Amino acid sequence: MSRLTRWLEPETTVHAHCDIPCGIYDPHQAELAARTVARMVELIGQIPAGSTEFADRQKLVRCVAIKEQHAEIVKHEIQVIWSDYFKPEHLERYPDLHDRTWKILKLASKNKQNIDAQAAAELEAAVKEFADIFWSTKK
Amino acid sequence: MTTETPEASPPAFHSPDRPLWRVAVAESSMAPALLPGDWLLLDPTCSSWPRRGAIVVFREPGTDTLAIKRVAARPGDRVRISQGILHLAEDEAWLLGDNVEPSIDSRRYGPVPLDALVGRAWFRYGPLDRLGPLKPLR
Repeated sequence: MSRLTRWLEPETTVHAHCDIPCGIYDPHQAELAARTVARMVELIGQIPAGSTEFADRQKLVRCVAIKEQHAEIVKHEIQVIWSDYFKPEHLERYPDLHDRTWKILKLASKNKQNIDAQAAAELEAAVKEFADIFWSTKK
Repeated sequence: MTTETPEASPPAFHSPDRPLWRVAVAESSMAPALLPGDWLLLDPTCSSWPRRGAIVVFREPGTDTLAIKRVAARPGDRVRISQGILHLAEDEAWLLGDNVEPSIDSRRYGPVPLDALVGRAWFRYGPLDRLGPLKPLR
């Protein structure tokens, strides 16, 4: 992702809290969270290997914590869209939907367990595909 | 082209001691004015509650999550609630969602103190087809 896109990206999510199921779903949060996971892996990679500097250790701890937190957000957001939004007719159109969802959840867990740029890129791509499927059912 | 300097704070994460300029909206109690996925610019420099009808981001009392609602009443105003009339203190605002029925707002958690205010939302920069300043209502 370009530096410009990264610069434009919202820093966080604000909630217009709702009490009832409103039927409005959006995979955007999952995409943002997956991007964050990838970015954290990138930032962790920039920390000098073997550094015992306090600042580096603090950055590492922070990045790891945020990575795990956002991998969990990916899992939550994807699960909600999967269980609450998608209907049997969507499954007819995308028979691999369950499998895709399952794989995203597994990938998110893998990203929690490891610091792995490849896994982070796969997660981002898989969430993007999931989002594309979601939007295609809105057309 | 400049070289990238290491970031003090990672993106997509907001610490309470840093001003917040760009946010994404989740959930729909502010629909149709704001929809989930909207990208907004904030003015984090406001030091008092903006005028009635303005859209604000604040830390929700009780949960401390970042919430977005509209200013329905400002400090000193009177608000009619089921138990009678509530007189807002000098630092308090009454914040409501546009979708009054399903919204979780001041009717649930009461008046919001000024120190919970994070910023005023003033511009939508995404999606591009709805780009523009946010209009205050009422």
